[in-house]
Amino acid sequence: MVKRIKMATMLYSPFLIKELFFGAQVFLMVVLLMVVIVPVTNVISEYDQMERLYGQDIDRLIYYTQIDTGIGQTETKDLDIRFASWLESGCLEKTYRNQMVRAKMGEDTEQITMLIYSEQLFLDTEFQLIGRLPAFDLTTESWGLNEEAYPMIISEDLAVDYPPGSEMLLKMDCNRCKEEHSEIRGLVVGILKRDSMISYIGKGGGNYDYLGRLGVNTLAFGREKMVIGVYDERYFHKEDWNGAAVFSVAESVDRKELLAQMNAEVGVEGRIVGTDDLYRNSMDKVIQDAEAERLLVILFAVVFVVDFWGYILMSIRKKGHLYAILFMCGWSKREALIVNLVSVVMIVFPAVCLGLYMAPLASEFILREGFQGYTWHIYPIICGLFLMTMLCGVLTAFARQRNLNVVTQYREGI
Amino acid sequence: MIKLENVCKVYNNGRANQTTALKNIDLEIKAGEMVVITGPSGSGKSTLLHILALMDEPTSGSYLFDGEMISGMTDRQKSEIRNRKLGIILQDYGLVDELTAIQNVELPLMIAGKRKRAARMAARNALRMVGLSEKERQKTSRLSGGQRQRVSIARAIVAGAKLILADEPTGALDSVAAGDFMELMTGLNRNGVTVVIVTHNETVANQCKRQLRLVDGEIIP
Repeated sequence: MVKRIKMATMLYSPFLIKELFFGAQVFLMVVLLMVVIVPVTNVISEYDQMERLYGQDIDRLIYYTQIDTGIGQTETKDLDIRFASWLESGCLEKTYRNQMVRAKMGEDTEQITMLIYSEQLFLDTEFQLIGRLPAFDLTTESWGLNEEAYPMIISEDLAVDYPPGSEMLLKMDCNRCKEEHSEIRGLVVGILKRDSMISYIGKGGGNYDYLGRLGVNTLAFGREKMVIGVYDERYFHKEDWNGAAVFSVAESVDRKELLAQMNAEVGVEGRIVGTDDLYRNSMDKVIQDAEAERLLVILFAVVFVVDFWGYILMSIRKKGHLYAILFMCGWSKREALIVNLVSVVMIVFPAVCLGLYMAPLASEFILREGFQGYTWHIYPIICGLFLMTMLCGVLTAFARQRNLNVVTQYREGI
Repeated sequence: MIKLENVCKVYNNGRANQTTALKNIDLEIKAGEMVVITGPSGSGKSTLLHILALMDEPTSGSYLFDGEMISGMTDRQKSEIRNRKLGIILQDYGLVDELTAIQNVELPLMIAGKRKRAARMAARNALRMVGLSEKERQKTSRLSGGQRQRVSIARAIVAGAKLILADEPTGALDSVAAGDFMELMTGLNRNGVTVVIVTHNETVANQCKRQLRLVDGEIIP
């Protein structure tokens, strides 16, 4: 056996560089798959659902995440929770922006569930609470809680127990580690009528590109005429905080009336900072991006199929060549086969493992560098990875081409 | 040396595309003979050679090699015979281009479990016999067609094969290199090695003492 191993080492050592090329190719494929294709597919899936739900004017809160938040998950049963397991498996462990927090209100944990994504999205799937909760602070690695109660806007269903001005206790626990992290106090500053809301669309950090310039990073769209935005403290100082503000309204809406309505319903003064056009532009952009991502997915799918098919074919031929020579020179079929299989596994397995390990790091890098998904920034990265993959594929192909000519001679014999 | 009795080879047996490559072949080749097998494409020459080289099995019939019945042998037993008693030469040489000439020649000896030093010495001798001593450290991909063919001959004889099987060995060679090849084969044959050559080349065929013609899977007298 030792002699066999020595011989296999001698036989395969000249192939090392080529095999490393192939390993690099596999590695890049895995990274591409994990960093780009899976989230993009997820986003498109969510987008489709969002479009469907929104288009049908359903009284349901939905939200829309993007690549940098990595996953989309709600407690809403009719939304696909496809990638929650990916998150919970720890793939994105170090990506704090993807921290998912479940906040529970008081003891009544079953009644209200909130999900917090990134630093700004929040959602009450039961439509009972809208609030704003602090985010995980990357610098201190702690939840960014402060001493003051956070202004909360609650739905009218809760108003009986929590009238404006009352406080509510929110317990927060990390959905991944299942440990309770903290409690925060919420100050009820306003009430929204249930039918005043139709949907909630947030786009995570991506809003900074379209809407963040106005200091708004989450949006809640009111039925027919009302759009509610929540300020982000990073852009607005505390003194600007009104708890809620009318963000964007349709052109046809009487703004004064709307403000009065908001004041009456929410209990705080609001102000109009935009019109529906902004929303439409944003949505147009979302749709364009989603379509672009869809094309990318198709493109990558084609590359995957072609590239891997090509590799498999070449690998079989290459291995067939060696296999045939070894067989001809006196190795048994089993011996030759085992050596060839081992040689492939030795390259592919580490490459896949490394790719799986690097994918979250790459994802984190993209996030840290501020490459919010759906912006043009991501495309150079994708294109770079794509070109590198193709380059590796071409080099591998050239390296192996020379080995192809003998194979047919042996095939019958093998 | 070789005795085939009623050997048949059928591909895709029992299927619609069933093909009979060899039909009731009876063949005896004595030790020290130099035999050429000719015939048109598709006549079953390569199939016969693969069976003789223990790289393929007949569908029916018996094969006696060097006094041993091949039929019923295990894969490992046949591998050992291929390794120690057979030398195979192919039109495309069947070399590992990433290895040097001497490494290619060493392959059968390493498979046989020879020590590295002994294998290297034997490989050097074999390369010297075929006139390629000065090229032993060159990768075979950098050698000419004739030189590569000689490396494959060295590999075929390095383990002391009793039978050399050559499948279209001169197909990719010019007339000079083909002449050199036949000269080497004739020399080996003079030293007692049995040689079986499958070829289309009439010049090559005419240099062999015994010629067999295969047509539609049958040996024509």
